[in-house]
Amino acid sequence: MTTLAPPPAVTEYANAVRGHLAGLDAETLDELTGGLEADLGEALAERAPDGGAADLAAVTAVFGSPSAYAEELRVAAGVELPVPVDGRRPTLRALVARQRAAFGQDWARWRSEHRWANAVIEFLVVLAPVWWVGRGWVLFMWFSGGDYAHPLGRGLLQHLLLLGLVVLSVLWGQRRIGQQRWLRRAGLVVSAVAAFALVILLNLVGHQLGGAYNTNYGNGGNDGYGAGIAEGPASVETADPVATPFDDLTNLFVYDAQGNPVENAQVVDQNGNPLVLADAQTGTVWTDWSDTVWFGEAVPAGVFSGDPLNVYPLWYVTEEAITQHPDGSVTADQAELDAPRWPAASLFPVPESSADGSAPAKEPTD
Amino acid sequence: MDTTQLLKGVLDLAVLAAVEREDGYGYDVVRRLRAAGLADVGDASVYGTLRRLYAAGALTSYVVPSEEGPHRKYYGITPQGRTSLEHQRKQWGEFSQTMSDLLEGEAA
Repeated sequence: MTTLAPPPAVTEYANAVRGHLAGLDAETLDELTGGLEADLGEALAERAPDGGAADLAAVTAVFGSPSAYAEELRVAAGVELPVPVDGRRPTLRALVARQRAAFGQDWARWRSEHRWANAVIEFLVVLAPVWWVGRGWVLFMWFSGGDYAHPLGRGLLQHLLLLGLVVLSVLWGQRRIGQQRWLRRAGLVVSAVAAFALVILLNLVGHQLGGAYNTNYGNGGNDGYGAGIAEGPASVETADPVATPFDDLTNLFVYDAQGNPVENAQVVDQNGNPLVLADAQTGTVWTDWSDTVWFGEAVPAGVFSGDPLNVYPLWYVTEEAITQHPDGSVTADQAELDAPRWPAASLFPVPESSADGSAPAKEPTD
Repeated sequence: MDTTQLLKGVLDLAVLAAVEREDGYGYDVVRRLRAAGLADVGDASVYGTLRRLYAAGALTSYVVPSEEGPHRKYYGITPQGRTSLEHQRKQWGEFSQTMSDLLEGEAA
């Protein structure tokens, strides 16, 4: 059997030991008893592999009374318990240490009385590695400046940073590194902050990847967009391009009244604003595209060339032709264009009644 | 005089010496010390000393999963621990020589 959480009886015994040493200052107490549960568990497995941890009495039978164990710890470390002086108030540290020990004993007793709680705790302990990875990721987001659109970083350096921080977090979680007292404390503070940050970050990244915040990015594409529509209808000076409301729409194909494909068809809305599609993955409208939101997918050629983005069908630059540079910027080899694949070579001609531009005839039915 | 009393002052030295050649987990170290003749050494003393030496930087530690029971925390000596061990070894040599000389002198 491999258990990660110490049995309740071991925790209870360890807390009783701490209770006997509660007069020591917190640092010394931590030095003497930090990791005591794990050590007791290990020693029990050696000395009483069968049922040694069944209850407090069984643990006591192996190690002797908690007070004797505490005394041996204290003597071996060569520290003295402070002598209580009548009339003098106990120090704050002593009070805190006593409270901690008392809480620990209550907690252990409660656990031993509620088996379901142990099941929950053991389950949470099993999940701990997931939290360690999450903590490493929060640190990465902190160090890398928190680009929510690239939660796993961009470029080799950032990926390596992420990997390194996750490994550090896991090793610390496994108590393989940084167990010196001050590092342990600093780590606990960082963990507490990271736990809050994780919830917030997951929310932000979720929104980002869901495309809810597609206007947050730089306007890298807007210059080209502005130049491209200079000859368009007068009303295009209104700033916001019209985004498509359709998910997964990556291109538009226009056929004329005879059903023939129309190349380079300009599409605008009722106000004359160019109809520009959005990146199906991130929800970023193509005119808002910038190198900070590149996920490694194909991008319309107009994004790089500055040609208007409401001219359909769009020609895409294949992802293989896009190069990300070490500084994060992205350039494209314009020669590598992916020709739009027309869904049909031609369509049936539009019926006469509506092809002449007049409203379809509506005969009164009565 | 009870050997437990004598051991008190040199427990750090004994534990460092026990992991000098080969890393060991807590109960391993208890066994090594007992096998070396320190039959009365207690669990609490050894485990407590390991934790203190680790906190002081004299030992390093790593966890090895075990099939039969809880993970085992192995301890190994650090360069700092080795320096400390050498220093204490020398001190002990001088001290025990002094005591031997003194006791033999009294006996003579």
